[in-house]
Amino acid sequence: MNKDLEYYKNKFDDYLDGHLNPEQLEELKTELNARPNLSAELERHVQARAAIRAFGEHDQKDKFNSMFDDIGPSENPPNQPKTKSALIWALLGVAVLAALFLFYNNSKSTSTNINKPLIAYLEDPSANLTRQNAKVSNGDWLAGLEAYNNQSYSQALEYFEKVRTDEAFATDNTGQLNLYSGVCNLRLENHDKAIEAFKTVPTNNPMFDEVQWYLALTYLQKGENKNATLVLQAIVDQSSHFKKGEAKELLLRIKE
Amino acid sequence: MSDLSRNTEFTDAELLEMIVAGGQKYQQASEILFHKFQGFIPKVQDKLHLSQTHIQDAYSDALVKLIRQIKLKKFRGESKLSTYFFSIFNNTAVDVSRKNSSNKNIVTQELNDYNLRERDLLQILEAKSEAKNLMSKMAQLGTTCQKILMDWGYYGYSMEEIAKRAKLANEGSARSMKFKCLKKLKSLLDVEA
Repeated sequence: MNKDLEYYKNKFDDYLDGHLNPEQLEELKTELNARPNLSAELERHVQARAAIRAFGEHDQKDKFNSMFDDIGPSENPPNQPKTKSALIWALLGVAVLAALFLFYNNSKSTSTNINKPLIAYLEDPSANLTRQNAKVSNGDWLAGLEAYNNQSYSQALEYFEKVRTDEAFATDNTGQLNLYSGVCNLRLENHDKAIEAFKTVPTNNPMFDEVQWYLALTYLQKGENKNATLVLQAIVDQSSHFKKGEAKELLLRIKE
Repeated sequence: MSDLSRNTEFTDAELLEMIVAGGQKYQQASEILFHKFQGFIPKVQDKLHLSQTHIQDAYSDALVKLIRQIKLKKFRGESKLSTYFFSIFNNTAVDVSRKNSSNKNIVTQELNDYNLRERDLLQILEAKSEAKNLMSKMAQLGTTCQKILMDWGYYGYSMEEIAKRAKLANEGSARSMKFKCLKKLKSLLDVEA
């Protein structure tokens, strides 16, 4: 026993990384308790490691940022023209929907007063064909997305139904498939089908946050304010949901 | 950029192994990850209306966080790596969106849970100001020392690889340099204490 300080200092990294065997671990712990200077050395070592790791993360982030510079413009996924074109489509869509909703409200006295403000919240999730995985070879899927982008919702749904026959593809893309199918049905006022599609998406799917939002809108459009409230509240309860603000507004409107 | 980095055929398990292995394998895996999840960028950008600079910053930050979680063994492949990454990326981008990027780099300085063993033992890495302070000590070292220490402590290169990268004579020289640099860093940390 009674090995010198350097011997134990050389064990610090294995200790911190959990690489000591039980005997070695016990020995080092005993020495740490018995020798305050060894304990102080360990503290310095931990601080030094933390500094190195923090600096390393900073360096790694800089490397990632500089890798964007190496990507040519054509490979750079987002670009302005697409956004502009999407905006035009969205504006046109909102205008058409506004007219439809006004007509709908005038013709149906049973509509809830939430329908009118709902227009302001209803815009399609964008489906950019160019961002699809290069490996995607399902023609029905691509045709469905194109029809969806052209707001031919019935046609899009026909393609999406064909896609479901390719089980492997449908499983791998369950989030997108059910999100877009759901939105098509919402647009066509097939509320129950929309709800069914949205509910298929598991909570750990990347699309789940969008699905939650459109599920809430579907319930509202259907007049099921109680169910809508539950979903909206679930959105509000998440610290980082992208529609948290809008969900709060809608909850207030429902309560009015 | 190596061709390997554009190969998306690695399984999640293989990528996790490469990250944990460190060194050259780590570098390859980090490049693969960089390309692998870029399809998420337009989705999040469209959703949050972030500028190109901000979304790229969020993406880089999210990758660093993902790597941290893998190294800490907090992510062991329970879900798909892409699903796990999307969740980190989305949250990071929402933070950027909320704060309008005034918090650049702060997320990478969250050291409090970097190594649970270290935290449990000494509980010194709680505050972000502590992280900033630690970073500033590293910045005071010369570039050679910074590179050697990062290669050893963050990127996980072997001493032999470090010797080659730093153009040192051999593994022994690299070990000796690492020892000297670490000692210098510790003395800088002592000054503040």
